[in-house]
Amino acid sequence: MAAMFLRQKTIQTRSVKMDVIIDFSDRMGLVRDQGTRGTCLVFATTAAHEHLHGVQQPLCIEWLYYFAIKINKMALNSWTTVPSVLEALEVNGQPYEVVWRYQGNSDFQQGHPPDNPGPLFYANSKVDAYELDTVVNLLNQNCPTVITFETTYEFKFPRRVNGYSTVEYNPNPKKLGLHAAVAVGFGSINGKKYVKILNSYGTDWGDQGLTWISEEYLDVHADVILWLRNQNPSKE
Amino acid sequence: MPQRYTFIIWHCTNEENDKLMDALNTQTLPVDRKTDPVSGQFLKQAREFLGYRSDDVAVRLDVQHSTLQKIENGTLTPREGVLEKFAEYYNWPLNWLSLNKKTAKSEKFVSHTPIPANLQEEDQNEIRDFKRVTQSRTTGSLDAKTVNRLSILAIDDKHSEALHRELNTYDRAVDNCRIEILRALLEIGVFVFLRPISKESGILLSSNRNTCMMFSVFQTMSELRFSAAGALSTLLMSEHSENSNVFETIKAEDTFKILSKECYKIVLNLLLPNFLLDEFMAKQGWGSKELANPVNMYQASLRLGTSYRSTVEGFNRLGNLTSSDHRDLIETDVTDIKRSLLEDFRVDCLKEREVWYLSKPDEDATIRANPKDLLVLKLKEHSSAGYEWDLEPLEKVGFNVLYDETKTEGLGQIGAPSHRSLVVNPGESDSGDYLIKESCPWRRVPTPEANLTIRYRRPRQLINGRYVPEAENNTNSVS
Repeated sequence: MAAMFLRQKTIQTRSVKMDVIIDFSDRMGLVRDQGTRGTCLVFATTAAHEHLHGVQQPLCIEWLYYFAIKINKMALNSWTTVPSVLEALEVNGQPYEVVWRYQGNSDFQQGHPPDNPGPLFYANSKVDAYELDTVVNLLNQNCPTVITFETTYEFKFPRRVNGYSTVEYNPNPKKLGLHAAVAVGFGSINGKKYVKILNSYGTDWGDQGLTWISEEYLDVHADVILWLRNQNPSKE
Repeated sequence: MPQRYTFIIWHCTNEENDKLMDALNTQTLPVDRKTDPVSGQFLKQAREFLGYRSDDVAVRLDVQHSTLQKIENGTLTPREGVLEKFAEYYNWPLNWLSLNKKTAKSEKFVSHTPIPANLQEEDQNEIRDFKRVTQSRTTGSLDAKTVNRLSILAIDDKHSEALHRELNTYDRAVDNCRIEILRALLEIGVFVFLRPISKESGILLSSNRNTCMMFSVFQTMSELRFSAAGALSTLLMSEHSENSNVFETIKAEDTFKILSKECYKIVLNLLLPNFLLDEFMAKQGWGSKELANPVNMYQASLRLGTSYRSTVEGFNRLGNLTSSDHRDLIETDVTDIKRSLLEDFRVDCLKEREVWYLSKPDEDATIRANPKDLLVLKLKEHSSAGYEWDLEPLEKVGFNVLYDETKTEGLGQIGAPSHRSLVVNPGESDSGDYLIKESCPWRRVPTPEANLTIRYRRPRQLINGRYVPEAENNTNSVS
């Protein structure tokens, strides 16, 4: 009995709470699922775009992807690049999802954009090299920030530490390719900094599709950040 | 006291095999192992053939290393118990490790056919027994009429389809991408044996009553098939000579020198008929350019079940290679091709192991690999989207994953799929169809993106004390 009491006490002592400084994940759109397609950058940018315009329904992934691929002169079902996605957003805008629904299978047959897409939303953007301070500044301004980074096994399988889903740094990582997700929060545990991201792997991943990535992981694996600014009101 | 001879048969189906084994086993007689000296040289050859290190064998047999060396040098005769351990560890029948001593009784059966003097004594003994069996058989042999008919068809490659219909291989060849030559030999009434002959690759004995072929197990599958085709071609050619009693030994390594030009032409007709090569090229979607690539040529040789060199010659005969391509292919070292397929993965005994590169066109093809062979899989993996190939079903049944590396397509390509390079070997796994899937490991409801089935049939090694290396119809396939 005494041993059980001691054990419980130890667990309680170890339990540390995340000091959440910023978190507007509850003001973002729904967590979505990219399936097997290389559309992570489009999903992350779209999530930031939806937040920018405060839209009440999701924006169209297929539309933005279609024009980004076209700008890059890439084959259908390819991956995208930061410049092509941002150019498409600025030039071609983004309608609501309902006009052209997303298909998650990589063997999908992509059609053509609808002739009457309805309202289109546009944005300007800025791109910079990844710096945690820049990300935190932007989050402080209520601006979700897209981060591109190398994924590893630690990202694929986030750990649950102190009740939080976290991605920790491994000095010998197994790299799995470049990915993009949108930063929506910032916090710390025992002084160790974490960025909260909204991913596009569906709600089975992490904590309902969200996780906290350690500063150390991002310092090593993050590449660029991008954020959006309002261009003009939506055009019909 | 009659002599015992254990027959080792290259079988086709279980039923056919059992029938043949029953028929032949009625001829078997007990052996007195005490009188059979063990050849250390043979034991050494067996160990090297199996790729075992002498110090490992010594540990497994629980003998001193120096004792093993003495046994292999022939200065020490192993005790019965040690011999049994050899048999168990090498997974060979015990009587293979004890060699028949020349006895007055077996001498009685030696026919007038001369035995090459350059054969080792134990090989000569094997042949004497073999000849005795040949002469004691009176039913089920290949008749002269069939031989004559086949020889007419085999001489000219225009008749290759007709030849293979006669051999009952045509339909199966199209499906399986290879000619089942050993099965064909059995079907036309040849007695086929596999024995550990230490020097020769194959021995053909034919009289006007019987045809027997004995092949050494000290050769790769493609060498063995070549030996079998060489034996059959020699037999068919002999129909055009006066000699009704044929005794030939076939050496795979020197086959190109030993077989006459006509014999070699028949070998190509038997193993690589035009219709089969055309079919194979169409299936792979290959033209002359692809054929000139040594990696493709090597992979073709594995699928067609012939040696690299023979495969080059087979395709060259079709007129699909320029003379410079032909020369370059012939001059390419097969071990270098294997190394190039394995990239930065290094492995021992590469000469004895085949390296299969499994690609999309193999989906319906028959792939046959031995337990020590290496299978190279290059799988597209949507890893940045969280997907991965789950290899657990393979590992669970005994496949060894020897190399596993994921490479992404390039810098700056966000969301690009990666390429997973795998080298696996069947190891101790049992026969079965093994399905691996690319899926998201964390999903509560699994949604596989892609599937790959590896259809593996474990080569039989020891069945009721008889060694059966690999059935012609036992296959590994990927679909």
